[in-house]
Amino acid sequence: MRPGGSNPTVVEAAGLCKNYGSVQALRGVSFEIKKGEVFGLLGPNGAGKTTTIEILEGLRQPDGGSVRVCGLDPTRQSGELKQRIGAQLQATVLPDKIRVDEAMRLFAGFYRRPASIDKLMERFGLAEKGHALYETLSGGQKQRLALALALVNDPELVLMDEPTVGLDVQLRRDIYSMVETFRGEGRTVLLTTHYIEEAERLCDRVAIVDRGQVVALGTPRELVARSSRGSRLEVRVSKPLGADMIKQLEAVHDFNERDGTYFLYAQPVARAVVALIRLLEMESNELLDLHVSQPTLEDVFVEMTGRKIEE
Amino acid sequence: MMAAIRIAFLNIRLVMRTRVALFFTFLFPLIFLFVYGAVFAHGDPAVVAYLFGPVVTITVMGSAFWGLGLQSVTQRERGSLRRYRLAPVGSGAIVGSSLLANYLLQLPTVALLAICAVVFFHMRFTVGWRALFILVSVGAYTFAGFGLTIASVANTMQEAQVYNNLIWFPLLFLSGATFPLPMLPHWVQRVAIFLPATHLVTAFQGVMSGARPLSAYTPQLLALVVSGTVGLLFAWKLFRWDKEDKISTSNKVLSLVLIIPFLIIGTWMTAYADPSASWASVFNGLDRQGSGQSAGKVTKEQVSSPSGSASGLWGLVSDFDDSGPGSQPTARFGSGWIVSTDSMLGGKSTAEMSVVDGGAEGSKGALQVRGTIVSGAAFPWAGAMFCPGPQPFAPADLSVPTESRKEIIFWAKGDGKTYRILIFSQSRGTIPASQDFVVGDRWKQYTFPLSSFSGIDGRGIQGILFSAGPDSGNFSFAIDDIRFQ
Repeated sequence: MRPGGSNPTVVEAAGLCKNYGSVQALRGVSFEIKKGEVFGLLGPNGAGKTTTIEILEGLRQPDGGSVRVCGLDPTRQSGELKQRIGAQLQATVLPDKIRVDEAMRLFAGFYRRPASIDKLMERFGLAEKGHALYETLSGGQKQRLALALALVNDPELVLMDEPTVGLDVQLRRDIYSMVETFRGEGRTVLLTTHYIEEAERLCDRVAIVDRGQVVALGTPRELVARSSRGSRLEVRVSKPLGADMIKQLEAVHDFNERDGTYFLYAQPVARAVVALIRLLEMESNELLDLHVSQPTLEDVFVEMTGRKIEE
Repeated sequence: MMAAIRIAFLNIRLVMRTRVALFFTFLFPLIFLFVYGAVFAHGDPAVVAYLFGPVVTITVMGSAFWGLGLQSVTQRERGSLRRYRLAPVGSGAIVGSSLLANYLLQLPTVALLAICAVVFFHMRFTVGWRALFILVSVGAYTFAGFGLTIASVANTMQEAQVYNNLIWFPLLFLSGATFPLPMLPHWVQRVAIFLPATHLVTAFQGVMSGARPLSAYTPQLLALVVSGTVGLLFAWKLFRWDKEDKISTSNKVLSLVLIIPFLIIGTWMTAYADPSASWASVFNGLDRQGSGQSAGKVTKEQVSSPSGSASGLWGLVSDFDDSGPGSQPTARFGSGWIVSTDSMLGGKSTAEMSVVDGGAEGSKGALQVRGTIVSGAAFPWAGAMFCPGPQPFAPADLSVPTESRKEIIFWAKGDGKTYRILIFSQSRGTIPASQDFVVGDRWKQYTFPLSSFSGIDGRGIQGILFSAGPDSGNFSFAIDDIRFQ
């Protein structure tokens, strides 16, 4: 089944608001998630991602707006909703002395239709760690256990809050492949992240969140296409280029120079490259290096918010 | 409910895997038992039985406040509860699982205490497993309610520890769990009536000593159960999953509703059923053995009074002319004469008394008291005590005629040493008023106005002790014709 499109809606959030005292954590967040898609909430720390996901999980009540998850009200139908969704917290803490298989069986016992524990442990590479105490697990193993617990009820919707924070590159890639497996199984996934690469790689659609609001929403390609900066050309030449000459290049709308390297922002990039080559030939200027990069979601974020996602 | 049971059994398994938890759950109560039994009770089975109730009370209280309560706060602070919150597990299941796990761990702990008390101290286990089960269950249930309420109203671990200490120490020291209630000042006993731990301690002591059946403590046990239920409901309603969720001051104040059952029962007991006499009766009625003394033991021969009622509590107490030489003395009122020594406080002084021929002024008989004062106890003493109440150490009001000078008069002779007459009354608690007298080798009459005994006005008299001490060594004296006039 193709994710999104005409598929039924699994999550509907409209005008969500949430205040913590005088702090407005959410200021009218709205989005929909279709069945089978991997949907990302991308934004810096404090943007409202965790608050949003906690409202969907039924852990917090919104102060305004409406939300339905799997057709249920997370506040009023929390018990039924929890039977159908799986969730992985930003930091899952279990008792130190609990065994891995014990934790799996304990949580599986809370659901009407639990998944096969043995298969889950096999799938997440925990089969040999069944009798190990939680305190003896590595960080990666604990994260895999948290993911396995999120699937213990074979959920139709999986909510993942910053699933790869603090993990090394290899573990991060392991998590990515697991998410892609979820997609292949037809599950709907909502994940929150502040990693651009993660959102670009995994998500069918992304909502960029900043200061409690959705500032952009669409597929990664759509969002990037909206970027007015266009592609970026990194150019090194044998002789300095004059600013007037660069400004007159076709399709180049902005540029800057740093340490002898010229950064040209152009759209469409092909025309800009042709115009640049012609200029260099006329000036008998040798092209030493040329590198073309597409805009990223971070560029989109910077354009929308005026600052980088890490700030 | 199944979720609560699953989580409870998990929690029990987690305790079994944690050495510190194992120590405080099983070994620490045993330490209390052996300290109480060996040091305070001197291995006396009767005293061990009396102190068994306090040991169990400390065990269930400690588990509730310092185990169950703090563990709940720790889980919240650590974030362990958040994972449960994502599952279809309600707050009732979390509270219920904590209660169940704590209770299931208490049962084998108390059973182990009982077995050790019987095996090592030869405690007579007359109470029966059913009564013990009921008392432990009520105690564990009640104090679990207290512990979980504190966990609900405390925002941090430090705050929970402050609340625990504020409640724990008064319960520990003013309820009879450490110092026997009859030994505490009267005003402390008045306060103790309002403490939940007091009712559990005294119920244990009354039942373990065989003095009263379990049913006699129904109102107190009911108050404990009601308070425990209120506490558990409170803990459930105000349950918080996250440390970020703070509790309001008004809800903290509302938690004080837990003490209402004890205010009611304490007020009722103060007005209609003052337990001080029964506490003293149980304490002084201990059938102590091992020291060769019958201190505190009352025999039929000793309790021989023509009138035990308040109307006859004046005039002649004893002239020892009724009994023959070598027999136990009798009295005209009250519950009679008993030997009293510092052994009840761990001392080693000894005394014996018997009627002898040759009383004062040519009368037939006198009461010979002899023994040995052994240093070591805080206040060494040994002698003979007259108890004017219907039971040993029960209070009695001496009915003072208006024309009376209110004096106590007696004859004495002896070995030339200094002795004391001590009057115990409710108003003075465990500290008697006393006067010294020196005996010579000839009979001499001594007169002491009651006013010379500080705080004594004839009301609430629990005992009049003729005693040697504190100087150590052998002693011997005789008294005769003791009377109030």
